[in-house]
Amino acid sequence: MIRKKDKNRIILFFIILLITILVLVFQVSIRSFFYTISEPVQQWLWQKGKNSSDFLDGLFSFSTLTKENQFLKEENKELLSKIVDLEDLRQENEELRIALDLGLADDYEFIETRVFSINLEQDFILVNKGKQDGVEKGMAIIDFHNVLIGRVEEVYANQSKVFLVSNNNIKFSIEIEGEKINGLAKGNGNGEMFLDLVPKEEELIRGALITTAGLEADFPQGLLVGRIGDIEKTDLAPFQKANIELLSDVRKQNNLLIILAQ
Amino acid sequence: MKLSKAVFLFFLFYVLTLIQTSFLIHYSWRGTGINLVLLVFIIFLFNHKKDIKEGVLLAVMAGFFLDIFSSYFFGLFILFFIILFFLISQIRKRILANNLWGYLLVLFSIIIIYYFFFFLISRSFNFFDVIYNFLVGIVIYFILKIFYAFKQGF
Repeated sequence: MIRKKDKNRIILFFIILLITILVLVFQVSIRSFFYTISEPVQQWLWQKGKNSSDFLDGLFSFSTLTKENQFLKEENKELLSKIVDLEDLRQENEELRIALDLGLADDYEFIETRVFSINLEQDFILVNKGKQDGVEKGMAIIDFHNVLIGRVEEVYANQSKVFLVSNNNIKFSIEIEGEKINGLAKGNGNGEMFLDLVPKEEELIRGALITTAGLEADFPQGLLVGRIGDIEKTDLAPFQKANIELLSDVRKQNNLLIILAQ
Repeated sequence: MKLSKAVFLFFLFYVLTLIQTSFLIHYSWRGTGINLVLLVFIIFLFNHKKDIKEGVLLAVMAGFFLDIFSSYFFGLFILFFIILFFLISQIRKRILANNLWGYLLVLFSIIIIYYFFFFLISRSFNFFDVIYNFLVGIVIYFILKIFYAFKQGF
């Protein structure tokens, strides 16, 4: 005969088992519910956190601002001259396009979204647009300067989970601006990304700009990714690797763009 | 544990998770964020002796909200925190000193174990996570000490 104490334990065990099964089955709904009720508070916290950290950053980096300003002025001059060159190229390209009558659309179809939560350990963010706004799994997300931020991984009713490009599960083909070099960009976790599968014979230049090659359906061609950092080249490996210095810091962003269609 | 206390702790961990994922993220250092939920969990268990039921309940509450704001399968952080509770209990049994040094030892070892668990899942490890959270854990400890001393003064 089962004792009363044992009977209670068995009941407790089955209650816990039932709750566990229910939570696992309805985990998407549970997450969606909490994201919806938390979003307004998180938006407010995000804004307060960003403002206070910007203020402190300004306070502590005052001494380096003059130096940085000088450097930016120099860089600006260089960029201006490049813009002139690019403008010529753009005109030439436009003429060619019209001449060939390709009829390609320049722009994508976007939807603007707000970041309200970030997980640095797992390299993902939460944004305030979801299924009801037409967001689907696999869509690319960029900032206002055409810099790739990540890919929509999970879509809820009104929010979406976006894996950052630095997430371990993200990899895509890239090309290096101005060179005919292709490679594979891989997320390395902890906000880091690296370049792989570049043949040893190719010469990588530190600081060169990396853009998406557009070989995958998820990421259109020509989105900015980052710059080449430290290069790792050994005689033993057939390919060389390099760190990618990402161009965008998602913590400094409020609004981003989800590419709905190309 | 009284129901009112359990409800209070449930909301406390919810608010801490929101602060961790939306506010403190702007104070990250070298790609490292402050794991406020973990730090408060360690401080709670170090300062208040908990029986198994209370400890597991606390672990479930802390882990539940980290699971909500996670990209892994649901229940992973609940499991992490239950294991951490048993580890903290074992370390506390062996360390009689309920002082700063005892706290530092518990804090450091639990943070290391937590990020080791995390490494097993994500295959990425950032040592700054350990250092940064250890330093913030010390700061929180002293803030709470001052708070209690101030409260007792009245």
